[in-house]
Amino acid sequence: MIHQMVRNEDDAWDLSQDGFVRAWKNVKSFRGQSSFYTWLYRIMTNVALDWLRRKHVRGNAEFDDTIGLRSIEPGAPTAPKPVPAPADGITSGEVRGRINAAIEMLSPEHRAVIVLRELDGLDYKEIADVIGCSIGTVMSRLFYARKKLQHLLRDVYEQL
Amino acid sequence: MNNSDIPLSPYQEKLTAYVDGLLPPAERAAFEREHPEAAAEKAAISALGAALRSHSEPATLRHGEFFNRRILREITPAQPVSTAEIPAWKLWRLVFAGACCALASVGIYKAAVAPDTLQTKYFAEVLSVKAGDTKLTAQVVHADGIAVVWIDGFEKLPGDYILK
Repeated sequence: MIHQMVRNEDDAWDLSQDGFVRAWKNVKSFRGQSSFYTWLYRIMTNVALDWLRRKHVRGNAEFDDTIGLRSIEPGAPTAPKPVPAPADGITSGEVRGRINAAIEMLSPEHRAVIVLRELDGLDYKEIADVIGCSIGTVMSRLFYARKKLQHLLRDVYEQL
Repeated sequence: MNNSDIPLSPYQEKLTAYVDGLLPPAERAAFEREHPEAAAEKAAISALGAALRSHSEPATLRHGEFFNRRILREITPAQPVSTAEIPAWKLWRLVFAGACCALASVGIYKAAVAPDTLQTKYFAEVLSVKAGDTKLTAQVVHADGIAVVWIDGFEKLPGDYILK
């Protein structure tokens, strides 16, 4: 999960270590109100979110969530393609690169819900527990994150 | 601008629930009737999700032992060492070992190093000469490992004289 969020293996292992150490140091605060799995997941997600926010503050000029939303009605059945589709298809490596680039354009909060929902398969309630927000917030973030990825990757996933 | 938490309209909320298959059957059917474009949207998002899943590499832990060791080092509390916790017998043992080393050093020096520093086997030195005859002189000559007391100025040395 951390790897999917930070998109860099070395950073992911460092953050995993931080997460495990933080869990160890705070294990006394685990009160059994959620499953241990959810509690650990929350710590790991927060570690990754903190790292992404710090990275954001340090000057990565991305995470403009309004990209692709000003001119597109949310829920519109089609959206303009940002780049023309290559004529002869696209290789797996290129697809991976496009997906990585698109995910890196998401804000930390959007990235988290996309990873938890689409890659880890958590339901709304579990995501809300892990992130510490309401189900409505989860749905809102998911909606806008998907819209942005659709805008950035439509030509990619339509070919697959 | 970060619009992560902009509330959804009722349509957007239903569409999100519909895409994720969370609408009850009756509500889903009514939603599809009202919004025929929703099925295409659901298919598009499903394709997007499939693309994300199929092209996301799982991270492989290549140096698990190193990873575990780093975590263990982090979570193991540091053990402060204070002199109060050192048992007295350890201090005495240290003192005894130090004294033994000093004695051994002195012994080795005397047995092996010190003799080499002497020029000759015998040592003699004339500290003073007291004689009525001022022409009488005495000196020591070191040569070939022996010391010779050289007395000069005697007219005649008694035959039974023994140098002490």
